[in-house]
Amino acid sequence: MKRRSFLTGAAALAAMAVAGCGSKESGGSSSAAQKIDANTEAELTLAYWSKTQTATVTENIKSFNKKYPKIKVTTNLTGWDNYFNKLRTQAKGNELPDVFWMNGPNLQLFASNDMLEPLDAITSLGISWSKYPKALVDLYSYDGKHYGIPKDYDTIGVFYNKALFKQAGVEVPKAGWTWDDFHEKAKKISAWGKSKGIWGCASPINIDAQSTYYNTILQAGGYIVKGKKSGYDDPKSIEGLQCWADWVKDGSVASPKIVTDTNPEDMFKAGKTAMTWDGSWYAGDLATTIKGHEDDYGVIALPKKEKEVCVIHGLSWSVSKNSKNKAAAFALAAHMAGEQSQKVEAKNGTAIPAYSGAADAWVKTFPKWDVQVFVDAATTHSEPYPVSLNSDVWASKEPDYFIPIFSGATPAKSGAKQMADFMNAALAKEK
Amino acid sequence: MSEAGARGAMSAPRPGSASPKGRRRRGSPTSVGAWPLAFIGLLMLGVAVFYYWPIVKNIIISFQQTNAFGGDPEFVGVDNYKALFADPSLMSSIGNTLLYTVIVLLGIPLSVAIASMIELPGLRWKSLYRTLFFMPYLAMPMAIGQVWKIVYNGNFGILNQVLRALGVSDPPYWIVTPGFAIVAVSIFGLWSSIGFNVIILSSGLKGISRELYEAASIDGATGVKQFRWITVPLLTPSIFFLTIMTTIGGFQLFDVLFAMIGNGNPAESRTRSLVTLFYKQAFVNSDQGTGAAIAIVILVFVAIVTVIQFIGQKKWVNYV
Repeated sequence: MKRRSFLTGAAALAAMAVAGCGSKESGGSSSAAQKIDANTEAELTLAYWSKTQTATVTENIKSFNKKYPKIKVTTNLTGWDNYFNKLRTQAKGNELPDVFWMNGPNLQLFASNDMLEPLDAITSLGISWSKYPKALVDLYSYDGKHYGIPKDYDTIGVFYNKALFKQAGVEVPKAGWTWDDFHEKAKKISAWGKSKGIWGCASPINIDAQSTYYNTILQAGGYIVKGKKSGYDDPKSIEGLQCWADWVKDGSVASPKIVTDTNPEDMFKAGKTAMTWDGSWYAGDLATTIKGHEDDYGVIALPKKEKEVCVIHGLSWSVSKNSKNKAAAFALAAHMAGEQSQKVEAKNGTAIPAYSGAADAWVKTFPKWDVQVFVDAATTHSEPYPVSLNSDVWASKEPDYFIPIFSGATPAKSGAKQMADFMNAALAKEK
Repeated sequence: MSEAGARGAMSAPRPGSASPKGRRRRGSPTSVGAWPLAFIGLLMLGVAVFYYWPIVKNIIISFQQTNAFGGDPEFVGVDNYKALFADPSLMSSIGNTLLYTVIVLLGIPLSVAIASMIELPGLRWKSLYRTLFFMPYLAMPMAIGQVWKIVYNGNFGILNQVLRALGVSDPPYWIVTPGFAIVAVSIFGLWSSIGFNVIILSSGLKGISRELYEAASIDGATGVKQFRWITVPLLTPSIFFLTIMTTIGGFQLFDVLFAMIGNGNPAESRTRSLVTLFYKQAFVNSDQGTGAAIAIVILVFVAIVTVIQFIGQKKWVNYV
């Protein structure tokens, strides 16, 4: 699949958003971006969810304060698990942080309910939309307005532990590998490592759809959501769920129980699993932990089935509609997503920066790994993360139906059908 | 002059003193009752704003549907309640909540035994034991929940290491196995409630007159008989108090589950309590109407059980 389809996919999504909802008037505050200089005094709050990105966030706020020394920025870190629950609750009480990370699944919900400030005027602060991938700019647009400046993007790959492959006597994966290759390798390593508590593969199938089954569903030729219709009862989608159940059943992949009790990222770092499906965001975290042993690890694109495809997503910086210091908040968002900050993200290996041309610098921070696969996946064979107007309603239900499938308690077909029914009802209720 | 009067004379303007001359103070009527009423009124205002108004507001919301952020309320009658009672997760949440409450209630007899031993006359280092039992109560549930999560870990948790050492080849994954998980959580709940129970019961024990025991031993009653016929009956008010508190606490089960179960746990739906269900509806699914309806169900539930307990107490609680 070519980049074009990725782009049209995202464009269709944005179009759907435009068609789907009659939005409310958004107050005319396009002048908000103008009145700010080095003497502006303000206090801002900034929220994000990844502890591993704290160093980069802090560094970028520091450079922001060089330009605007009298603007005090307080950061607010909440774990991913509860980030959006907290944000939604804050929104209810008009207490949203001034500037915060936004993701695709929540953008439409927040934008359509008038919680976000349109950012179109931010171009006066040096933001140029053409400098960011169009798919991401579209993902963060709603009703023809921009509600988020892309910060980074992420794709999925397989991280593997060369040392464990060697000990188990299994050849490391090669580019162009298939589900069958993956399964065979995982099975062999599990058989070898069982007594030592080592798995062929452990991935967050219990909680992280983006790293795991969203990809297999697309690879098998299925889909997750199209307009107001769930794709989970599509036979191809069911195949993308069934594979995990099969792999868990014969012990190639760690069961949902195991990866709930111990985070697969930690298992991988501790040498308890030879492979893990994870996002490009994990590279920086892994590199820090295993410093000095980079040669023992490798990265490869996801195995393919019917087609080679991978889910792409990216984060953005958004500004609260009710921010009391909009001009300062605009300046901060512009700075955090601007060229200088994006280069810091790249240099620190934090995440693949969305800013045009900065991805190469990110790739260079991992000289021993082929992390180029993440960038290539984005440009050659990715599909946008599936979202709807109020994604969390159905997305938060996925574990209830899918974990029993993966652990073998429910047949994939009936579990997927129930999920599809639930999801169709939820999609019909969206307005 | 009474002592109070003397103090009043020394301190700054003493409100409410009925001076015979009837001198009026600014903003205060001459009657004695006004100032106390002002203070009580202030407190009542706080209670009304922070306790009663939320209850009223919650009842109103339970008959409404709003958008994801609580805006555009629309009156929908009892639709939220209908949807709630049609949802099978309500019944399973009630079941989980009851199971948890029953197991935690078992901690009360255990606490009675512990407290009676700690308070035995002649025992040394009593305050040390009291402190040891009370300490877990001081730590935050979230923090100890995390520690217990590690204890229960199926791969490397200390519990399973002990079991493996004892020859159990395949010990369970405690808090991720549906069916097991709620029991594992309840055991933790029982453990963490003992400290509070013991302190309440200890003070209850200290209120029992030594003379009763002396009289009993003169009559030839041994330790066990004394415990059965003096200690337990005279402790019943404390036990009753703990029963009520534990039941209400059990129905409000949330923090422990939040700390130990979390999203994506295979046992999540089998450990869901009423409050977790409420949280999920109101804050994850942004369905405040149904969330509010769940809160009302919890309120009614607690009220009914407490009324039953108060009626039942007449049969077994001794107030001397």
